[in-house]
Amino acid sequence: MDPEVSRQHLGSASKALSPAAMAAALELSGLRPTPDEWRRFTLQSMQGAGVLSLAAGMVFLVAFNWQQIGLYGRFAMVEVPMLLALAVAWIKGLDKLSGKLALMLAVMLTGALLALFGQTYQTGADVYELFLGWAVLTLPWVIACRFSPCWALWLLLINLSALFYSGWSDHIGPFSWIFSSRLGLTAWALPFVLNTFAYIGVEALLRSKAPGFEARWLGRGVMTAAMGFATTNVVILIAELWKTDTPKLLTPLMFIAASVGLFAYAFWRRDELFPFAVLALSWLVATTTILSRAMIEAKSGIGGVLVVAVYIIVAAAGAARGIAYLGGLWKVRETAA
Amino acid sequence: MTTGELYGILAERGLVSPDQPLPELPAQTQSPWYVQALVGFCAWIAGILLLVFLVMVVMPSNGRGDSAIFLTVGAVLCVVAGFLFAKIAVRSQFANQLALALSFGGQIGIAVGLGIDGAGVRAALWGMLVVEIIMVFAMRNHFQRFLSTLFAVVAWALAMDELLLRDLPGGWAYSERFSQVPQSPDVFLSVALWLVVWAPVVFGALWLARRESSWMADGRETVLRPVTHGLIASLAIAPLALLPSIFWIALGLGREPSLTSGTSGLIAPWPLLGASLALLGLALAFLLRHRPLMGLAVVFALLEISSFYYVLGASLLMKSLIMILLGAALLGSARRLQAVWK
Repeated sequence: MDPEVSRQHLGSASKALSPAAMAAALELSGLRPTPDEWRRFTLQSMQGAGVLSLAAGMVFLVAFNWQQIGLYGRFAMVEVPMLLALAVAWIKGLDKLSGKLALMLAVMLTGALLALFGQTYQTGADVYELFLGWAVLTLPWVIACRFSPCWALWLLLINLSALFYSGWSDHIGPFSWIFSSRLGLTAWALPFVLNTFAYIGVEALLRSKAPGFEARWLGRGVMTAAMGFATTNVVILIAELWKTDTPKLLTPLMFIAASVGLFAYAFWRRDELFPFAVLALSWLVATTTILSRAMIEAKSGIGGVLVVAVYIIVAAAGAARGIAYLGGLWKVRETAA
Repeated sequence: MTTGELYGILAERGLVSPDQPLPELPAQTQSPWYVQALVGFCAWIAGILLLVFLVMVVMPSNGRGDSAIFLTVGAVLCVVAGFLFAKIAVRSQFANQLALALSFGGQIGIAVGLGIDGAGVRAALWGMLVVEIIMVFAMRNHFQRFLSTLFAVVAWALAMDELLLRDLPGGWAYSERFSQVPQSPDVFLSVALWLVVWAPVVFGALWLARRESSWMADGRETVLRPVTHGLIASLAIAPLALLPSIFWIALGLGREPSLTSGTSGLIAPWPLLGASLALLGLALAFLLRHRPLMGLAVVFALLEISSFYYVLGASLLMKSLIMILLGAALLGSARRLQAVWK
């Protein structure tokens, strides 16, 4: 059976097709959007940009801290648009994009409302509490929304909360005894653990075709964040940027466990190469840091710079070749740059 | 649709001969975008290290680096990279990676060489614009051409910023010349200056994306495909990276302490204009059905909107009103269009 037509395919047929034939080929094979698709794209872009503009405008307005408006006025300024957004979501229904966007706007305005509350009553809450409260309060709406961008926003809130919390982990909080230097962990351990669990959850929902989890970019983003935090943890320990008297075994073990788990899962799935690129970059960064430290300790001078450069070139080439091999083996075709 | 079905329809329409053989599906010669990003990141680091090594080796014993050393080393690295791309890199991933690293190192060497002597930063920016354009044609590598196009646009916009505002990102402000530009917001002048920088880039990206079938049929795919993608990526990335120093100073990243003087009023609308460029990039990426570029455009449009919060020259109240009115206008227009198209 003939393969599906791709741009690469048509590019290889250049000079065999006239410009008119090429234009027709691009349109017939669906490589250019139809007028209907253009209309849908235009409407969706305008609606998405409109909702984001409104949310940004409301956040700017709260940040302006308009003292001339009374207490009730200031709260109404945020609450009325929020109620309107909820009403639109109710009327339009959550099966339509406009309904989903309206509910997502309500999720965003909840943050503005919490910020306004903190600003007005000077609650003394830490920043992480704002993001955590925002995430917890809006979780039912996010679940109801069944919309990947809304989940991405929620995961961002959780990450921000974890990052701000980590700055305090040696001092306060119910998880202080786990995520602190007492176990040889760095401040990035909590975001790593959260994103690892989030990735497992997102992948499970994606595979079970749960509504709102159809997009592959969501899982990829969470996976990148998890491995990014794991790599940062390891690099901090190797470069001794994090001073601790306790054994430093846990962080490398977590990094290795996450890497092995991701590798095994991606190898078992055999349907995408992205995890291998993330793993390759993580290990390249970690091993280059080890090599650089060894060169510095050996006082290898300018020769050490060349050794590290050559190592990076060889390792990156090896990784790219390995990924290309798997892509050929599993017949995975992805968009180039 | 398969190639057989497509050629059948084209033959029915008289656009190809019925006995014309079907093109064979070529092996995937370009890596996925994320592998190219991995390779590019590593090549960037390795290139800098190679440049440092070579400059240290050829530098005179008194330790004084001059532009001739950087220019010579940079040019040699670029020539070697061009040779590797042309002759060996197609067959060898290692040669490809080495060529990319040498090319990055060479470009940085040339930029430093041009910048540390004589005309300084202005020579470096205009010089790099020329170098990157040459690289697009000389380097036979899709990813290198993509990046060179992106870097050429960055060099062009920085050079124009420096020429028009005497100002560059990252706090490289010429504070003594700030008085040459208007102190108060002037929307028309602001938009005019911005258009001078971005109109040629927008025109180039639009022209290439619309004439895709024409250059594909002419066999110019290998050069113009990465150039088109590079221009679309630059529409998303470059406007944010090029916000003048006053923006970065406001974020605490600059070195010029005076925030009241200079370009603040002039650049206040630029993040919004930048977001509109990112949206244009999104539309062009959609036209080419290039999802990674679409994602890039969305991310940078969001970053532009975030940067609007920090940019000086307009009060938060003014910014919030602009955003709320813009949002209402967009939603109202979408509703109206939906009704018309039904």
